[in-house]
Amino acid sequence: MRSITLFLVLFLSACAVKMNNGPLYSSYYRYEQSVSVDNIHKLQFDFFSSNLIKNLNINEPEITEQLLFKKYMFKQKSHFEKINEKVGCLSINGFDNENMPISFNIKYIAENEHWLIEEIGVLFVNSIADFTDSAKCPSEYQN
Amino acid sequence: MSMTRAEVKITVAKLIEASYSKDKGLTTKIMAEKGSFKLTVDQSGTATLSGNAGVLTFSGTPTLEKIGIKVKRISISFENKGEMNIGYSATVNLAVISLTVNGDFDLEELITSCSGLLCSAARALKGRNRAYEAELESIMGR
Repeated sequence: MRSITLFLVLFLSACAVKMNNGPLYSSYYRYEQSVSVDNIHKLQFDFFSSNLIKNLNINEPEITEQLLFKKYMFKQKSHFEKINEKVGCLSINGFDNENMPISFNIKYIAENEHWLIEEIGVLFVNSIADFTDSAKCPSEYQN
Repeated sequence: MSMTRAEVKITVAKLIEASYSKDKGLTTKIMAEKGSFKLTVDQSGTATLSGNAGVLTFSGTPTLEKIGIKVKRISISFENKGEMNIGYSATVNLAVISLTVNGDFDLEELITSCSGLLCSAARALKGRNRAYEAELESIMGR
């Protein structure tokens, strides 16, 4: 009985975490789970805005590398998002593969009823104390 | 991966060194004055160091070429906090992503790093010198 209760509590908590994810994080999660170097050419329009990928030569390895920016973050810790009509920003705090803190601040736009990535900021954070506790757009901290 | 944390920091150091090579006196004057100053590099490789003490233009192209990735823009804000301690926040805009890193360094330590004949040769090399870059990385702060 106790193990069933424990299972139910864990199951419901997991569902609650998933349900609390906003539309921007849900879109990021799909990107993170779906794209690889083998399919990025095919899936680019599903995750990136037309403004971002126009004029890009996706055949260049350095462009492919940047579109797979998710690789900078090995483990996630927290995320926050804010939306204002058709524009939104998602901040994700986490750690790289050397366990150094790192954050993504991503601007999304609503295009054809999908949230698509318009701008990507990778922030090499110095310490966990510097993690943001609210959503930030890339332009809010860049020089 | 495109550009690492260390590579961004090393790029900041190399740009300061390029400025120093162009005009030691003015670079030092701009950086040694307490307060803020800025260093930018545009897509054509034109670099500008500007502060209260003046403005210096130099070529950032050799530094950009060593990065090996197309760079749209580099923008670095510095704050001289006094006693040679300088804080900085650097953003490198690539074609798709932007990378930002913050740090602190000792100005005297950076200027006197690797000043001998061997290191001048290392700096002149078209390629990258790992020992030299490791030294720059440690100066630019973790």
